[in-house]
Amino acid sequence: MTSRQPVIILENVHKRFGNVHALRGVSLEVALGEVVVVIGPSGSGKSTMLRCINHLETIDSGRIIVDGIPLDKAQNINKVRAEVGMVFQLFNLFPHLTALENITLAQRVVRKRSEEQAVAIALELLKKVGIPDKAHSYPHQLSGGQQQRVAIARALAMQPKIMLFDEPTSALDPEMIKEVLDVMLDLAREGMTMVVVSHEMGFARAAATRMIFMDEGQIIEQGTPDEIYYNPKHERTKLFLSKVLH
Amino acid sequence: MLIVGVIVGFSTLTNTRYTDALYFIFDLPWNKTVVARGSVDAEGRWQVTVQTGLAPGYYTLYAQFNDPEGNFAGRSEAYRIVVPEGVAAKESAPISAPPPQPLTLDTATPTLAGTAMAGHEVIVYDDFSHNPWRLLVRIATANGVLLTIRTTLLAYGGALILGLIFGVMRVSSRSPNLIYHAGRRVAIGLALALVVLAVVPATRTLPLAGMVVLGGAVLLFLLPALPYTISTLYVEVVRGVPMLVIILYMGFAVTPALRESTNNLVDLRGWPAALIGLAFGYGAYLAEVFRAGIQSIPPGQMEAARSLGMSYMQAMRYIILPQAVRVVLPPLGNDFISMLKDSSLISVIALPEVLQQGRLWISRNFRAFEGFNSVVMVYLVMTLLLSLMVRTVERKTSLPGR
Repeated sequence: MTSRQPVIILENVHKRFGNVHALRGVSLEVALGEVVVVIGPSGSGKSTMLRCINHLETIDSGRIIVDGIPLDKAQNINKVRAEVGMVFQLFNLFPHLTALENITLAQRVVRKRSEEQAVAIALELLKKVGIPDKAHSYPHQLSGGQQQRVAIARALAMQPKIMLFDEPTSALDPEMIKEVLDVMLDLAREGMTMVVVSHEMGFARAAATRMIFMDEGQIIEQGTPDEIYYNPKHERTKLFLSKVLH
Repeated sequence: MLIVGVIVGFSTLTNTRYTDALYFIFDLPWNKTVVARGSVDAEGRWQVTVQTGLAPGYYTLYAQFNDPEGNFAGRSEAYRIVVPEGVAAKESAPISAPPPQPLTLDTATPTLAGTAMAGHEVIVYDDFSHNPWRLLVRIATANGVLLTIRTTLLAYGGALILGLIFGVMRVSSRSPNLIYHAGRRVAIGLALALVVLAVVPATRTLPLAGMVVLGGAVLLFLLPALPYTISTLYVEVVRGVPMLVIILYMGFAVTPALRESTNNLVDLRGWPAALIGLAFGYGAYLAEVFRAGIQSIPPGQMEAARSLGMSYMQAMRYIILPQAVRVVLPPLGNDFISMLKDSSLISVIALPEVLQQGRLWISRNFRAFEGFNSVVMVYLVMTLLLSLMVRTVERKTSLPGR
């Protein structure tokens, strides 16, 4: 799969927050249709890397090219963001809008779709993520798993080429994790390009084409899930996995 | 609480000691309550017939006497009369003195009579005080109250717009570095402005154009953080000046200067000046309220909106502000009530709102308690109704499941 043309290119990316050097020269290429799962200890820069791809953080040096568009000029940013869907750890649904309105709003104001068109797409997506009956509920009336599925539907409604998942299940109760992972698995099977920050081993083994281990702002090791989980080469990877896997 | 207020209010409204003060404060249009006119003859007797015919009901009629120059000279006791259903307009015997008990008539066109100073004018007017509902309708549409309400609503609307614009501008700078630099720029800008101020009186010939150029230069200098700088300057300066000073400044400094420099083209005398002063002053408070509201929304909301491809302004409009406004409704309502009370400050530029009318009445009658109590009542009724409205809006806009 890596032989295909890359849709995300990071070249020697550096990012600092004050005195904290969050990314120390990260280089990465993600090809169309790849599912990349990123693991690493907290503070290792995995979320920061994801947020840089969506330009939620500006980088200090290096280069990021998404879908052939370099992320350096201001006018490119909204163009890139419309092609890149993002799912957050805390869902970030809009609490003043119903599930349906959450999904239709950006379609109408960014994609300029008509109300009927947007609603039709939204209902279709709600069916796809398995909660067609929750269209008119407000986020606070939904469970965490349902909220995250609405958030995924909201990102998908923009028909993005790439989906970024920033620890999508770590704020969920255990029994809700599966319903979200199932939706993500479906997406992966459909050939969506995905970058997922997650420690869900089951998902990684079932869906990931590549795994990346990050520590202290650097990519330490990459490989297939089996290579990373059962045959890690670096000491730091081994140490981390020994703490995570029981 | 409101019920107690209404009961106290009603009993006061119907107390004749307060009637006069309230009439004056409410700026009730006297000519509309006049039911008859006449004059006192050479022997000091007067006799006036209500020609227009009274509708059935309970009336308290007074005769007011004006001296030949038209000045108020006194008034008679109340003629309490009842006009029953179905009586026609017809001649009747004059009622020569105020009856001890309400007098039921057999005509709709009673004739009042009495004695007074020869040569004085007699005006018989209809007193609403014993008919609270009629009185309330008159109060609600009285000029003084209308002026206060109109001023509050318009000035608050203006302040909301100003507050929204400047509040959004205050959170528009994204990096803390920018704020730090903005602080330095403000300091330098202020120093420059002080220099300009020091130079201008010394060289009176320095034309307006020169000041515009200088101002422009300062603004250009501040450009990188312009929205934040301008809004911070506005908030810190305007919030730091007493509202009374702002209104006086608008009324007696800005307005004449504008009139002079534009050859009477821009004339803000009176109400417009007061309105602009109030809106401008409150805009600074509301800007901070809006800023607090916007900053209370988790940053994830802005990130989610931006990640969907919305622009900053779109995210503000559709995501942040609708949530922020719900958060700041209580303080907004608070400032709304505060604004209603502070509308009394416009009395300092001689606008006939409630307080001004009350003070005028007191200065004529030397009855401070009745006068101020009446003013207090009028404000309380308005502010209590307003807080009821604010609470209703809060309930209506609250989100389900929260």
